[in-house]
Amino acid sequence: MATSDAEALLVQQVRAGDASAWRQLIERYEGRLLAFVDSRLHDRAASEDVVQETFIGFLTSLPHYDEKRDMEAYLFSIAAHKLIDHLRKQGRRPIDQFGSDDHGRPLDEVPGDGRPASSIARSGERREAEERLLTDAIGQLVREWLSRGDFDRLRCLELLIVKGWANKDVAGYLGLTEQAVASYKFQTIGRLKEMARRAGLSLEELGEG
Amino acid sequence: MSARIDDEILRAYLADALPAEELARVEKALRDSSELRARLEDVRQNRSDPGLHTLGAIWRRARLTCPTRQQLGSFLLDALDPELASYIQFHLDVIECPYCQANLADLKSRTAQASPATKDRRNRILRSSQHLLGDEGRS
Repeated sequence: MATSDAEALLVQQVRAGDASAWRQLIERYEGRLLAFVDSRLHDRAASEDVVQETFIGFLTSLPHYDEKRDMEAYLFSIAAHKLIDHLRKQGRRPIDQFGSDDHGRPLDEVPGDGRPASSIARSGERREAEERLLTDAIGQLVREWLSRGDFDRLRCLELLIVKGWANKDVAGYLGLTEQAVASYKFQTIGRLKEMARRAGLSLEELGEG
Repeated sequence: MSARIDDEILRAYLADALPAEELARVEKALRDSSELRARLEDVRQNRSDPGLHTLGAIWRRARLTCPTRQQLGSFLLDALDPELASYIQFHLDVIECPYCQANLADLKSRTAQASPATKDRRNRILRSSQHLLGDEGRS
């Protein structure tokens, strides 16, 4: 979901200090952010405050915002960060997860720490390459399944991969045999590995399902 | 269905992408288990083993199966192909995608005109943030 030209223009206008563009952006996204935060907090007043903080965080982090990045995902990411800050202040989080970033930057833009820079760079580059490959590859498979209306397979893989359900639970829920579930999984991993091999990367750690 | 708390669930926890019930389950387990807290730290530092679970994180992050907002609008109007509509229902109810649930709730509320309370709320955001506008334009 890339940011549309219209949204990129809106951001440029906001960057230039255009108050009506800022109002438009708030009107476009405030409702979904409020629904997202309130689904966690179940406290309307607190949720409204978190959303307000989210928009303030967005403006504060605007110099770091890449217009090619999906705006909705970016705002949800800031909202998640503000939400966690709020929960932590309430003592609802058991440990400090993210450290503090008072500038409202999304989680994936907060620098990490603890390991030597060269090690991070090496593993980071490989990890990024693998992640790009996997995103493209699994995205391609999902588009194939959607285009041919193969929703059984899609549901099966989404339950296995996203929800982390066991084969037998997926089989029971979808009314498939365990062999069918294992077969979907095996075929998918096989295709991902093949795509990786063609791109010159190895994904042996994916296992055989 | 109460799944084992694996690295994928911990990643989703760190991204605050878990449904409320699951979130509470993970928080309780973290309070009770130092081993799980250590594993969470590994996940946070990207030290955990890559594998099938990494795919889950990528799938969530790239929102590979999230319908577009237009599709969610058509879903609300019951104007989608039944198979796609049924899949979207699954994505909302079983996968419990928090972003799509939020979008759907927003679309539902937009079917009514913006209430005075909504306008007040948005004006409050504008007032609290407007002083930050133009900082970048000036720099």
